[in-house]
Amino acid sequence: MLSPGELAGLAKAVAQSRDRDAFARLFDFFAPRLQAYLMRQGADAALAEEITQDALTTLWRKSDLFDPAKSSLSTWLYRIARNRRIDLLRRDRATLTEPDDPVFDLPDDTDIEGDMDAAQRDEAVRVAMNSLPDEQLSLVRLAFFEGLSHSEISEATGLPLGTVKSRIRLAFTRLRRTLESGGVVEIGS
Amino acid sequence: MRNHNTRGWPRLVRNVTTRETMHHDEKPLDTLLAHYARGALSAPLHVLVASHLELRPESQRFVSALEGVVASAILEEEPVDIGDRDARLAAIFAEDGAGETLARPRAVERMVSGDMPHPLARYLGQSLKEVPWRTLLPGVKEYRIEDNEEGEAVLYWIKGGRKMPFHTHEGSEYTLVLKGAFSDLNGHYGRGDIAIADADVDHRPIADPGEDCFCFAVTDAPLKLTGPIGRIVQRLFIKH
Repeated sequence: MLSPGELAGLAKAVAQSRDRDAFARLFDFFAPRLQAYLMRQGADAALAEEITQDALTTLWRKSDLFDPAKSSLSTWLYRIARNRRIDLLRRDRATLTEPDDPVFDLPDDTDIEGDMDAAQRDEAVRVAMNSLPDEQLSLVRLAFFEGLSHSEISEATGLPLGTVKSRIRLAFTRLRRTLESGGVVEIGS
Repeated sequence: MRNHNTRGWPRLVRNVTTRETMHHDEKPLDTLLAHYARGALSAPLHVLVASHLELRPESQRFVSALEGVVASAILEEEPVDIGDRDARLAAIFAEDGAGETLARPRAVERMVSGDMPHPLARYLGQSLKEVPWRTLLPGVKEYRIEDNEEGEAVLYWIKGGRKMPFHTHEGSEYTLVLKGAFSDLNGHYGRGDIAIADADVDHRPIADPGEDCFCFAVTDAPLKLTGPIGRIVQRLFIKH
């Protein structure tokens, strides 16, 4: 597994010197995992391959737009793949967002001190999630990680649709507040 | 016709315990942001949230934290076999010409103005000035960008102080303010804010007096006008 620093270094080599070997290493790292993720999310093999190929093509062409100070390479590439998937489901398959757009440079800085790496940031989110009441956490897992719709969750759990919606809303609001207050540690311990 | 609002109440609390419905900690925006981060929104709704993020930095941190979590989960995936790896790499390296991409940003920058965020400009493909507005009511113009079984995406131009027709909708309605401001039953919304109205909530947005209000509204099911004027408008113009 390549570290976030190694990934950023390879991206820099691609951006600055069109280093094909560096890019091939990024391809070998990301393509098999991204394609696996997309298929697990319900894309068929052909669509998963197309999205992955498009995302990595964008990485090759626009790697100079990646700013390691703002986000990790995996988050940046995920944003490209996620958006491309939405494009490809449209009738005209037009591109709705490009990495040139400001929305690609969302700061990846959950911690106020600025010294948290991606793993610590993920841990902060995990701790914040685990601080949710069980009844909310189980629904958030289904909605966020399993990608079920509110009606599917209602069917799966037997809870009324309104209750599902309300609990999920409470949970995400609480999650956001916990993350933004930096109060993750006290709440989680 | 205020009784429309009160009449909407019993339906609002359908299937929900009163305690849960009335909880004021519940912010539907945060759930919308989470679904955006995960890539679970329709294209127009994805554009709406991306535009909100461009205009309102305070929502960015939560979204990027969740995007980071998904990205980390991807790294944990069991890698699949990339059979034609060399051919795919070669195809990428062949894509070195930048001609096509150089033209695009300029076209978008032309459309992006103080009122038009980048994602919406790309989606719309034209500036607010070029939009073929159609008068819906005196003081209210609209442009239907998309209207299909998955919902609809509409631009509204409401003169300062004007009211929108009464309407309810089968799904939820999400309205991003691009310029100006409006109020509805739930609150007051300025540039970059997203107003979220659930199914069956009968509401009537009113533009602030003075400045014209431009909004981008997306519903996840067809909208139905319900007021007396609304019914006529619906019959005359919105028949599908």
